[in-house]
Amino acid sequence: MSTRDRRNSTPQLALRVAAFGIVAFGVFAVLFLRLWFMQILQGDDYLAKATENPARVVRVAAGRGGIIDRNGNVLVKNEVANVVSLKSDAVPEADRARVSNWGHDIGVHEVKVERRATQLLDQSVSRAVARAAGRSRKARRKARIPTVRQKKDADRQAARELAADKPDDLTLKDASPLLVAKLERVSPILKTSPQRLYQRVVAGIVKVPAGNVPLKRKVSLPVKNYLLERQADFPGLTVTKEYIREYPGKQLAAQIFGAVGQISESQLKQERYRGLVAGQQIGQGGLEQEYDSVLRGKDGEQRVQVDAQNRPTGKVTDVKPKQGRRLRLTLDLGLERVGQFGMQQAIGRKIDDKTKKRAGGAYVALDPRDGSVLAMGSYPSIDPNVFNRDITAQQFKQLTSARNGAPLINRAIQGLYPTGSTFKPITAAAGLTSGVIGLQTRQGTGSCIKLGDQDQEFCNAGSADHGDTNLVQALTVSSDTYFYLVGWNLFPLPNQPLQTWAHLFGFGRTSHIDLPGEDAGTVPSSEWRKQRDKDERACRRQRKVASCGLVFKIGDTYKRGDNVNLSVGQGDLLATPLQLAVAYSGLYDPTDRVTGELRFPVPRLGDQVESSQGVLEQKLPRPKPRVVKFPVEYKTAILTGLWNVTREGDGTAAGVFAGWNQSQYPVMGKTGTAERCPKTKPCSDQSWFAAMVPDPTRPIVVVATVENGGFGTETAAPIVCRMLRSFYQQSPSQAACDAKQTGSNPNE
Amino acid sequence: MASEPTTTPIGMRRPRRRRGRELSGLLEAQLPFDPVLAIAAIGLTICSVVAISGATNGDSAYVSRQIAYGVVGIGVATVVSRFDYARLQRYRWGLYGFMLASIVAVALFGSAVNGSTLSIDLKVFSFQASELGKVLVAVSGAAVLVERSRAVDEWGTTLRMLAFLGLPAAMVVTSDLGSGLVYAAVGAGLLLIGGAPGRHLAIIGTTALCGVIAVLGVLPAAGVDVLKPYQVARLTAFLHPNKHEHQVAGGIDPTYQLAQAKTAIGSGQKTGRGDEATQQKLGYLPENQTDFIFASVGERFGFMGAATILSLYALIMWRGLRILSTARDFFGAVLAAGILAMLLFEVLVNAGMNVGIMPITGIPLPLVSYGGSSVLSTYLAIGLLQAIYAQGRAAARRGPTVARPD
Repeated sequence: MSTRDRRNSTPQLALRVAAFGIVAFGVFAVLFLRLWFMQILQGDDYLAKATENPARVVRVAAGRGGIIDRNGNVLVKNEVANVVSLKSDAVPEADRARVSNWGHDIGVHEVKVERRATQLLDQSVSRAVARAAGRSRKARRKARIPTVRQKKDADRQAARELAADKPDDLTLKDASPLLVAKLERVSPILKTSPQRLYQRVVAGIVKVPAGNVPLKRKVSLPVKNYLLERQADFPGLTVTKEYIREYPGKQLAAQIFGAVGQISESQLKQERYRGLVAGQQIGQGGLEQEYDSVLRGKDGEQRVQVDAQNRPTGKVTDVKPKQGRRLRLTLDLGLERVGQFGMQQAIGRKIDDKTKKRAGGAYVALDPRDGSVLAMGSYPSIDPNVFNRDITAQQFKQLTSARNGAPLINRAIQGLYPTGSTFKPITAAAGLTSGVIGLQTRQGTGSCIKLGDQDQEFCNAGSADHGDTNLVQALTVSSDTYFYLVGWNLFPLPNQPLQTWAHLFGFGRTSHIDLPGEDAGTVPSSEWRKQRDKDERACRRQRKVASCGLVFKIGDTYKRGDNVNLSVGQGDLLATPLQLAVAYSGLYDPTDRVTGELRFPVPRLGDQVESSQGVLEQKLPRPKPRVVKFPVEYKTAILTGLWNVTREGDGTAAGVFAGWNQSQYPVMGKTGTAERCPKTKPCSDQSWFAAMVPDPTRPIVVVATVENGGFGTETAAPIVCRMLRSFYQQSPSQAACDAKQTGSNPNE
Repeated sequence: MASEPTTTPIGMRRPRRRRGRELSGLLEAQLPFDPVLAIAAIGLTICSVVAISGATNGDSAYVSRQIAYGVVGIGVATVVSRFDYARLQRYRWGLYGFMLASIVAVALFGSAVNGSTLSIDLKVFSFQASELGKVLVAVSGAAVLVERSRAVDEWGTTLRMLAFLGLPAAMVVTSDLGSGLVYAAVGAGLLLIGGAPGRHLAIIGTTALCGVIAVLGVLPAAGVDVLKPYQVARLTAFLHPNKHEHQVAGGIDPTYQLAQAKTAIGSGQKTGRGDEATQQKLGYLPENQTDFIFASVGERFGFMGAATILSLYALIMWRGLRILSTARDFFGAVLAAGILAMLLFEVLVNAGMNVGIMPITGIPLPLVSYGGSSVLSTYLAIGLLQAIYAQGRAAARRGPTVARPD
């Protein structure tokens, strides 16, 4: 084979060219078929893969709506902050587990320390009592009340004694190398030492175990941009624009707002949070939770395209965030402030001699017409702004601990107390309607009365003898003996009139205020007593202990003597300040006409929803008040008795309300002094005062209680008086609201 | 002007030229050309510009450069096609030497990109020696083979060819595996049309297959790394598309690359996603203006676009085989075979890689992938095909030049 001619090539060459052609044809056939297969037959699958590839939704947090009081004063507002946080999946599992364990251990240890501190405080108090044994009665009484200093010493000593058991604080050495590397890398940029960053990681995990961990709040814009531009260098780190809640009122009404926090796993499953995603901020507790749908707004969605390095490259779709709406409350900031100040003056940092912890108190002011909450406060309070700072887990625990008075508890709706004599109008209502007493019935002579076969003795507070009184006088002077007899006589009647009327006045049931976590309290009855036994048995079985302490003795029944105690708001009665306020609101009538009805409003904090610019969007609906038929003359008698409390010379709060303009603003009030400890182990009483002013234009009901306040007229009544004074703009020179100006009957 | 007598096979006459032309110089402007081949090539360049514009989000630097390369390439092809390719036979050793020298020069003075030294920066464009080398290998290899065409049955010839091609292939294979493979493919094309006996081809093929298996599978397992591990990973990634390799030296996970390319192509469906082509826009598709330009076209223009490009290549192959069989002389036929083998192999491996049936190699899609060296070299090859066509047509017009003894 030598020469190839172009026209008739050799058969062999033709064969080889054909072979070449076949190979080429095969190559193209394979490529075409493969293309057909991928693009036409499987195209949909690949398309789905491609679209999910870069579709990453970046949430743009909507600004949460603000909260203002009835006059437009800002209570809660937003501040935009750039928050650098470590994504939840970027925290190594080992670290998460270690921190959780540590959090548990430290919790256990703290309970131990607290128990020991209480023991030590008891000892030091009894030593003081022993020292004061020979001195005056006042000195002996004073020795019983632990001082702040004693408390501090006991705390310190307990912490010292148990220091060996204390789990070591987690330090950077406990972190996994991966986490340390991450923190060390970001440390110079955030200008925070890795050690501190690790403490924040610990705090974050202890707070929200499965959430993102904020490393630094309020970082500057350059730092934010720096981090965003170098996301590949800082894996697991995010910088998000977050709205930080600010509370210009600081400690004022801090408990009612609740907090804003990451949505939890269980919340994600709830119907009301449908459509939300993990990591989103929602209201946790308080108004933030109750009105979450109003305040939350709608997060914007930037379907931001991200490139293969996960960096946002540009927007595909951009749904602007919708700012949450503004909530206007019925609250009156001025009144709130007066209440808070009163609490602070009355309680301060005193230690409660019953619980050996910081003493507390609460106040509520309602508009009796529609249940608008004009003021609501719980003491001790806390400035919620501190939670916006990067506090450590321990600082958080310490600030909110029971030893520090559990400042996150809203005592106005969660504090369960016996209400003392403020309960007497209810007893009166039950007695009158059941016929046990008439309007003119006079009873209750002597400082003590003996009842029953065993001659059980029930005495007036301070062993005072008010003589025999009618109902109006009994309320005015707060004669226990009068009401003991009512309670005694009501017991054998069918349908438990006292318990029934307590329920009608709103005790033992929630008031349905627009706040979560309200407590229903207890109205003791024979059914309740049986239920208690059941609970005790169940508790003993479950915890395998000899006694859970729910009852004194299993098998005891609700006795007649218990009913006597209930008649003056003692015994097993437990009610919240709010319940008492609702009960007194029922007594309100417009001054021009007294109706044959008690109208119990449903308390409301939320007044109206406004746009972020303040345009009214929706007036929040008011539930209908609960109406109970009640004869006019009975109501008049009770109101007269209550008015005399603050007006007449022998009224229990007459001294406090000395000089008050009763003709313009009649104050129907009632003091209460609740014993919290058994006679054998005395402690200071709880002070109560409830007042209702049936002003035609601005009626109000105010209730205040001080846990260790002593007599009702000593601490609670002055607080209420001052709140009323502020509400009706009376001058202090006219109404001093001073407990020192005691009337002729300071007791009860 | 006339080919050297010693290199002309016996019985092949020196092509006659019209007298006037002989004096006018090397180029003959009146020669015919193959319009289909020209249209296919220019069509591919247009496709390339459109594809690169899409893949780079209209980055004018890429687009305008590619247009410039295309225009210069068409000019090169036009000039080369007017040129009697047979002349090249004489310069085979010179060309071969230049090729080796350029490869060495690149290795010594080149600038490194992605860890491999492939090109010398010539200010205007970076010269990639191995690309030009593909054409030069075809030319010089064809010439050497034709020189020994009388002894084509002998093992000596075949082995000589292997050695001749093996040297440059071995020189580039460590830095540019793809080009080495193209040299091998060119060699196969040359041997096939050059007339190497079937058993030689079979033995070479079997040996190559064993070699591939040994290099990719057996030897790494035995602890001897002929190729760098990342090269092995890239080559074998398409065999296990679902395996995720976490750490690969060299940075990018080849399985990931392949999966993204396949996703891009598949998501194009019939008519493509147009500006919605997120795979390339957002950087999921790696090297989308060079190695993965085909996937980019597949996503943006769908089956229509990808099939258009493949059809243009098929057109080139068809015209190329026609040119091969109508070549004036044996050298032309073998040279055409080498060029066609080069183009076919490049299309197969590059497009096959994009659709996930071929390993990842740095082989560009001829004329379509961005890159000056590749475009110019391919146009050089197209020009040579045109020259073979032109000379073949011219010879046919002149009538038979040889009385066929056999």
